[in-house]
Amino acid sequence: MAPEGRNTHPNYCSGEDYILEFRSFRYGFNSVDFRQRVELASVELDLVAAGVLDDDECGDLVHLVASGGLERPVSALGEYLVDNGAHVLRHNGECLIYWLRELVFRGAWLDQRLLEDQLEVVYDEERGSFVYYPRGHRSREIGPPPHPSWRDVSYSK
Amino acid sequence: MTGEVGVGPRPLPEVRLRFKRAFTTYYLDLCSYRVATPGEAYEACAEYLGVRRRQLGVEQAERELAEEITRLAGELEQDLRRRHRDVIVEYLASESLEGRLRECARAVQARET
Repeated sequence: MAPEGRNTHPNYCSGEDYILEFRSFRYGFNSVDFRQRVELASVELDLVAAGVLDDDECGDLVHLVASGGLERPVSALGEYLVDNGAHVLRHNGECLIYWLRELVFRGAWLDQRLLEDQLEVVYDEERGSFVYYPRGHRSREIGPPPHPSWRDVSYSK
Repeated sequence: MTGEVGVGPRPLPEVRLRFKRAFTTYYLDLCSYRVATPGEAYEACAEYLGVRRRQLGVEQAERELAEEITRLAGELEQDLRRRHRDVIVEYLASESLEGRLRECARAVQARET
């Protein structure tokens, strides 16, 4: 759909099940892609450990990110988030939904730049992770934005 | 007596209010440099348009939709001017509220077809 009055950026698009917008960017995700990115973001924020979430728990997280709330959780994680909303959804003054959306968007932004061949990716053995640079600018590392951690209130089964 | 106990469609004013709330949240996110998602606004809009069609009939609902969007935009703008008076002028200048509202309705209609 053609948006009104917006600049035309190349937008990330794996589908139209979920939409994230930031300024003039409009990113579309299919449900599988979105779910994986939300799960990854929750791991990145130390809310959950990698690979521990079941389908219902992922579903609750996706619902939280997509709708901005969770009225009827279907999983233990969902119940944990609702029961401890005051401490978990807003932790040390930081909003969980804000950061989950931010990291999902940021990941897709990096992938879109990669698709456009605007980034170089190097594996940093010391850190055990990939590092991104704008093509031809090795001094300017592009990393995930500095973000808060939910480790203190992380969910475990 | 046995029979199904179902929940009928919610009244039009209620779904209209839900749509206004969801759209306002989406619009404020858009304008305040947060990553925004229209998912809840789309859902609420779909429910609102559906109930409206059932109540008015498809033909009348479609005929009067443009006018209703303008009316909704006016109500939302008034409400935002009252509750967010320190930032709303800047917001309205950066994002067309009525444009976004129309886009929302178009996206929902496109998904339904």
